[in-house]
Amino acid sequence: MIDWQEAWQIAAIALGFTFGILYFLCLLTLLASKIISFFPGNSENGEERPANNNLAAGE
Amino acid sequence: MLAVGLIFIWLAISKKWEPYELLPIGIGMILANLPGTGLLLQPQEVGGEIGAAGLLGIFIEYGILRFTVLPQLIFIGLGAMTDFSPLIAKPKLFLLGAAAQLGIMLAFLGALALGHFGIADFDILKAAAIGIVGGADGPTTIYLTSKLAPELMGVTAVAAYSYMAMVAFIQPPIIRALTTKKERQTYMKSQIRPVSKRERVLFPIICTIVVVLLVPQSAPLVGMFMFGNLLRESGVVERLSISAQNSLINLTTIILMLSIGASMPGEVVMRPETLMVLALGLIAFAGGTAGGVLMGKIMKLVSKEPFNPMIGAAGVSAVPMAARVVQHIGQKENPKNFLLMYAMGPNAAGVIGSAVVAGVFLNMLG
Repeated sequence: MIDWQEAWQIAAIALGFTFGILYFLCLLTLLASKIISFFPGNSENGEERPANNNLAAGE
Repeated sequence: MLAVGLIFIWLAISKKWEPYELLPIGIGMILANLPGTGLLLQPQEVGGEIGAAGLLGIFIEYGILRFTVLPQLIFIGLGAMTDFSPLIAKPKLFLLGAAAQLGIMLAFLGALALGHFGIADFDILKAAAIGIVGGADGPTTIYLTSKLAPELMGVTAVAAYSYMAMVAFIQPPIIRALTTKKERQTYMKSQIRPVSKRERVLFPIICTIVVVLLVPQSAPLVGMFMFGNLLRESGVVERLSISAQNSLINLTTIILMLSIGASMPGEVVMRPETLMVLALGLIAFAGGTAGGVLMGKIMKLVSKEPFNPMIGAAGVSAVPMAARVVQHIGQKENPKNFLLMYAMGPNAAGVIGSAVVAGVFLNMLG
């Protein structure tokens, strides 16, 4: 017998957690990029890479 | 089953449908269903010693069922092949990757509904294994299914890879149904900011720490994925990066896909439930596309810059096919539009998202 309450709970937690974690990563990435931009020699050795230079490869 | 194996080989060679996966799966099926080979004999302990075992039995037992090593090794290679620059340049694209995981939930609940009404013998573990097909990520599907419902592993893996190959057919009608022509024509400027090496090095480290602390069960997938990415972005281990992108991923793909094909017994595959798994897989892919596009529409409403909602469809982590579908439709609607780099953002985010979902499922059901 399917416990629908448990099922909805699992689905909600899984989707909510995923959203939450990815949103948190979004904020962290923004914050890290901002902090890094204050450091001198940000693009030293290195190759700033334009974000449209994708070496996309298939699985 | 021999005929099914031959069909997969034909699809791989003639139609070029995910040949790296379907070709070894097809051969694995044929080898597993030819009598008297002993290839499938799994290692068994007899009197304190491990008895004779077949090659495929060893791969299946140690590579997938007992230790699930192979999907994790593939993730190192995938990470080494992934460029997160578009995502780092536009972090809000993470949300599109998250929204595209809606398909997983639709398939999960759909499978439970079939179980509830007695149409199929799907309990909550099988439903989660079927749902993860919507993550459009082969290794994640194999990893989760091997833990929760190993009897479905071959079917879900084949469903995931088959639908990945059909992304160019599945996604466009859904994208067109959920967007207006004007939305599809929305021009996004072709240059986004350059991403520094520091950012590209820090990104996998931060992701690993954050995601694994929050969802420890995702460590085998997310950890290996980010490790591979760090090999690539550090710039100091070129040989390791090249090996991860080539030898490692190619060797593990050969062994894993051969094992997947060999682990599909006829009595599991030749059942009505297999068709239901395939149907639910399609719902998962379609739902993921819809989820991503709908989130794209929401982001378009709140965005100060022009935002093409189609790029949400690339949150279905069939890398890079889903992004190429968005690019293709975008160019057809507006030849000036070059959406590929934007679409690669949610494409990469979707890989992280599906691994997180798998980790949550394992945490709650494993």
